[in-house]
Amino acid sequence: MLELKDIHIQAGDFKISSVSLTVEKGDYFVVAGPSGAGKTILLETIAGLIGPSKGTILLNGRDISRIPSGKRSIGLVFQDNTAFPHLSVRKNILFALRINTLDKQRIENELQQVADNLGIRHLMHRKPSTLSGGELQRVVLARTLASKPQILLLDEPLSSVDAAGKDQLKTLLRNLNRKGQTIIHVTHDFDEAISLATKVGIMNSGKLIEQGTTDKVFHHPTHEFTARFCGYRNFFYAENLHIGQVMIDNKVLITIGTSKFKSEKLALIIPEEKIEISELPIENKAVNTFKASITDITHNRNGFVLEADFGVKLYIQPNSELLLKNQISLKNEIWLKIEPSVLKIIEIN
Amino acid sequence: MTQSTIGFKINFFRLLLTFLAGLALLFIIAPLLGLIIHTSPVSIAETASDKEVTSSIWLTLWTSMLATLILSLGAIPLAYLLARRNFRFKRMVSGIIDLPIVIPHSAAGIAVLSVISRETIVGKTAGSLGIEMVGSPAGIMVAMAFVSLPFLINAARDGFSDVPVRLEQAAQNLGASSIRVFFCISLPLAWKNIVSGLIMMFARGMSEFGAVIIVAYHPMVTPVLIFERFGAFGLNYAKPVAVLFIGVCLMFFILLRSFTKDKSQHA
Repeated sequence: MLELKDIHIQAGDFKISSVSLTVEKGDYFVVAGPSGAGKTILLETIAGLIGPSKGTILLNGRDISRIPSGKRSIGLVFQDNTAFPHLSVRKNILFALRINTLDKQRIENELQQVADNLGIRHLMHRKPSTLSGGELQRVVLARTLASKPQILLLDEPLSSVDAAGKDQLKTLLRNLNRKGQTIIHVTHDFDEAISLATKVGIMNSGKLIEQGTTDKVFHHPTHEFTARFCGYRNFFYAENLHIGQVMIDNKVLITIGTSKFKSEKLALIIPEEKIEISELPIENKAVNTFKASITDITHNRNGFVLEADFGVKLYIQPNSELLLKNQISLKNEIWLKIEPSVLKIIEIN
Repeated sequence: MTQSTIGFKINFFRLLLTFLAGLALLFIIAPLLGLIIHTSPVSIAETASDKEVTSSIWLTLWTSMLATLILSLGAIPLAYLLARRNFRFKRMVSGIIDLPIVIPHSAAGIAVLSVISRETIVGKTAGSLGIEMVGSPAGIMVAMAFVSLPFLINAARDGFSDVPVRLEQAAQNLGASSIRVFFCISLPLAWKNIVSGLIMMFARGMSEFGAVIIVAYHPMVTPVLIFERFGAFGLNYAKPVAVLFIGVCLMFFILLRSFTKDKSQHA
C-alpha cells in the first residue's frame, strides 16, 4: 500500500500543494488532469527523482521519502522514450535484471518470462531506433517490470502509441493489473482513465481536487472541473431549498422532485441529450419548463449542439431530425423541458 | 519572364558562393600541396631514414598520445560535471578551460615552465622522484596537454550534454548505482564526442610548437626539429621533414577517424 501524506513539492516556479492519497495493493489508480496540472512532478516525487518539500511517502507503512529512487521498489515509465538507444532490446532488459542478481540461469528465465508477458520476444535483437511507439513502450515496460517494482508508475503511457496499439497496450495494462500489479497511471485523457482505472484522482493546478472510486468520481463529480473533464457541460452548483426544489445562481428555480438531500449545497448535472425542446410553449403545468434563447449552434459527431440561455448557459444535444424539422436557428426562442428524473444530483459536503 | 530572371539571380548567387567557398578551400590546400609538390621524393626518402627525424616523430607521437590518455582521466569527469551539475562559478570554470586556446602559446610555455621548473614545488617533488621535468618527455607532455586539453573537455562536455537526463534517471530508477549509470549509459552515449575530443587533443598536442620549445628544446619534437632545420640549414632542409610529418599526421587521423566511424556504426 502506498500512502502520500500532505505532500508539498516545489519544482522551479511550479508548486504542488497538500496532496494526500492512498493506493491499495492491486489498485489501478489513474491520476487524471490537464497538461501542466503537475501530474508528472507528482509521479517523479513518488519515484524519488524529486524530493518533496513537505510531507511523507509511505510504502507498506515504511517512510520512503528520503530513500533513493532505485531502492524504493517503485518503477517509473517516463512519457519520453527512455529505451537505452545504444543497447538492443535484450540488453535493455538485461540492464534491469543484472542489477538484482548475477545468477545467469535466473536472469535468462526472467528475461524470457517478461518478454513473453509483453509479447516482445521477436524484438529481442532489435535496436530501439527501429521500433514503433507501441513496441518501444512495451520494451520500456518490460525493462521496468524486470526490476520487479511493487508499484508501477506510468506517465502518459499511451501518448506516443497509434490507435490500434493503444487498445493492445490497454489490454496489456489491464491484464498486468489483474495479475496483481499495483499501477499508478497519469493521463490527460478521460477515455483512457475511465477504461482502465479502479480508482481515480483528479488533478488541476498542482492540487488533487477529488479522488475515489471510478464510479464515484466520474459519475458523481462534486467539482465543476471534474464534471467538465468527464464531459458534463451542464454542471451547476445549486442551493438546496429543501422543498424538492433547488436554485441555481439565484436565478433559475429547478424542481428536483425529492427532498431527500440534506446538504445545503448540491451539484446538479443536466444531461445534454435528455433536455426536451420545442418551438411552441409547453403547457404551463409541466414542471421545469423554461423559455430560452439560442446563443449558438455547433456540429458534433452526434448531430448538433445548441447553446441556450435560460438564465444560465445550457448545452442541449437535440435530436437532429427535430432540429431540421423545426427549423431552429440562431436567435430563435425555444421552450425547454427538463424532467426531474433525468437530473443527476450530488450532495456537496 | 519573371521566373527566368529569378533563375538567373539564383544561379549567379550560387556561382558567387561556389567561387568564394573555393577560394577558402584553396587557401588551406595550396600551401600544403605546394609544399608536397616542391619537395622531391628522393629527399623525403632520405629524411625518412634519418635517425634524428624518425626518433623525433616517434617522440612526438608517443608523448602526445600518453599526455592525452593521462589527462583524459581527469578531463572526462570534469566534462561530465560541467554537463550535469550546476555549481557556483560554473561559467568562470568554463572560461578558464578555454584560456589555453586564447593565450599565445609561447606565453603558455612560460606559464608551464614557471610551474615545473627545478625551483618550484612541482619541479622539486618530481626531481626527488627521479623525474626530470624541464628538457624531458615529461615536460613536453605537460606543455602539450596544457594547450590541447580544452579540446577534449569541450567535446566531451557537449557529448554528455546531448545524453538525455531522462535516460540516466530511468537507469537510476531501475536501481543502477551512479557508477553503473555513468559507465553503462552516459559514457557509451557520449563516446563518439569523447573520441572526437581525444583525437583533437592528440592532434593539437602533436602539432604544438610554442609551448613545447620553451619547456624542452631537447629532446626535439618534430615541430621544433622543423624549426631548427629551417633556422640552421634553410627552407630546403626543413621541407622534407615537414612533408613527412604531415604525412604521418594525416595517416593517424584517417586511421583514428575510420576507427571511430566503425564504432558508431556498430553501436
